Amino acid sequence: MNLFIEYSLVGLAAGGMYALMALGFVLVFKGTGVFNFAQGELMMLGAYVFLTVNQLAGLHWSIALAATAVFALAAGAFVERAILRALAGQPLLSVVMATVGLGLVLKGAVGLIWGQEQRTLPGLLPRAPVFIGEFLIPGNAFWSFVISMAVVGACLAWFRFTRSGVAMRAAASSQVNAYAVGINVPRISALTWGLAAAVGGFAGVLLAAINNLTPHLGDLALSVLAVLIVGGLDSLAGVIVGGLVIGWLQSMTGAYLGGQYREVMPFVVVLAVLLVRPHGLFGRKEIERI
Amino acid sequence: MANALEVTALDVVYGGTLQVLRGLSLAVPEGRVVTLLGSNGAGKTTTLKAITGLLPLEHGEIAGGQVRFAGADTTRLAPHLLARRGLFHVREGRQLFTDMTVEENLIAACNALGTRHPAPPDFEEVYGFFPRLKERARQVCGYLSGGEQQMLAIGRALVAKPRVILFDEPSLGLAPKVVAEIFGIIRRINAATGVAMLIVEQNARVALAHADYGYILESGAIMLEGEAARLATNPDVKNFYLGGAEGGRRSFRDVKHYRGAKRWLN
Ligand SMILES: Nc1ncnc2c1ncn2[C@@H]1O[C@H](COP(=O)(O)OP(=O)(O)OP(=O)(O)O)[C@@H](O)[C@H]1O
Ligand SMILES: [Mg+2]
Repeated sequence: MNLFIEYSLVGLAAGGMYALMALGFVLVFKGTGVFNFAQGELMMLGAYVFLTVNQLAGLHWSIALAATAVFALAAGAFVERAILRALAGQPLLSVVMATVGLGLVLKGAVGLIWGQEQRTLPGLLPRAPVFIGEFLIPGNAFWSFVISMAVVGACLAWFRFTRSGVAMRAAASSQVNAYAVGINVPRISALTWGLAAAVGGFAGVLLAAINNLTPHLGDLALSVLAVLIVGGLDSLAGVIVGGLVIGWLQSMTGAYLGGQYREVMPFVVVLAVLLVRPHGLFGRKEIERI
Repeated sequence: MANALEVTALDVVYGGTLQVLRGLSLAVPEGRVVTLLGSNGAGKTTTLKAITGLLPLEHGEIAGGQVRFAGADTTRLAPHLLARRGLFHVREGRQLFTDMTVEENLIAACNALGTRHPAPPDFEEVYGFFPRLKERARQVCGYLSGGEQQMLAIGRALVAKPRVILFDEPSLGLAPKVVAEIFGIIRRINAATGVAMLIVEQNARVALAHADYGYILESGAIMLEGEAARLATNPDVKNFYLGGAEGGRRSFRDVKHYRGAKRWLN
């Protein structure tokens, strides 16, 4: 029983990170209908910006984090303008392929600028284990969970309560109707990509703090595919549930079936979910009512 | 009285070739209610889309003519900028954000306030006209009844504190009782806020009963115009648009004494 609870906690903590990583994909997909294959590389880029400001320039981590956010917002908005708008009216496949290409370019460019060697962000997250009741969780797992949930929660609140957050959902639901109620759709679209890149940047910093940082950090992003499918690619609330479910399952699988099944289990669940609910647990079915 | 909205010799083309509006002109004076009538495919919706800048989003373009709103040339201005200046379009079929709540739809419409007004802390003005919306403020609007959805569509326009509201077939798909209720409220909104209105309708009887002035559109051009009360008693309008038309007659143009009627009305 104790083992069960301990592994559950560790799994849920990892799930928080999954949720944050998945959020970047969901924002862009929901907002602009594109699956952004470069999201992982934007994550990785954010981590390198943080590293540069924090370690190389020697500034406080809070300043580095702010710099990461600003840089990511600009980068995301730039990508939206440079790629999406240039390809407006082209088949969706071209746009998606363009994001694949962008990811490769970013990975290559980062390798050239910062080199291929492993970097670390030591001491960013407190290492001291945290007790929850009588159970012990590694400090970095605990704190990355707390930070992830805070960022995801802030995004959800923003979508729910602010004028620009509601505008983003409105534009996602119908561009023409969004225009008709006075929403600056191109600006909102750029903002969506910027926000997704910033969320990705935070995820990248956390991942780099827990593991290490190389230009291949972005490859981890596709591991949240299962989260996206379980939660629904267009559901903001779905990323939390999807992330936690997958994180927990992986941990359980590792504990009771053995580590070799860890990576397989999520996809077994995904298949099951797809059979029952093709849109994911929280994905949108069109509401039809006259 | 000065015109809040003025359309002059408007030509609209879809897809570069299909001409839908041919030299259409109309005017909406400040504070008045004007109706634009016409049968299916006459170009009513196209006229509104041209006025509020939505045309390029649907492969249409203004090939000629001019739109003036609040004294300025607004031809081909981007739609969100027009909404922010106070020209609000309640589109055909309500076009709500169906996966959002009633309140969130109203919040979305606050974008049209731009910098002209601060956002309202609550939506008391809207809820004053539509108490039913207040009860359903937290409900996902896709599940509202047709009448309630139309109320919300009008409520979004109210939030934007516009100078002119363009309505596209507010009666669409509603029971006669509900249509009467909606038009009653539209008229009350006009009286209470002084906002000018252009109402596109197929239901000519109701529209003429509630408007000050009317235009009749056919095949992309205005065929007839006049005070609403006079249009309503015009024999040709009665025949063709107020339910008198019988089988074979396809077009208002086929009504024989139309030319005389036009002279008489002007
Ligand atoms: N996006 C478009 N592309 C091409 N043709 C269009 C487009 N939109 C409308 N049309 C055509 O323009 C003409 C006028 O359409 P419009 O929607 O303005 O008519 P309407 O008077 O609003 O009709 P209804 O009463 O059915 O709503 C129609 O023949 C229609 O087929
Ligand atoms: Mg129409």
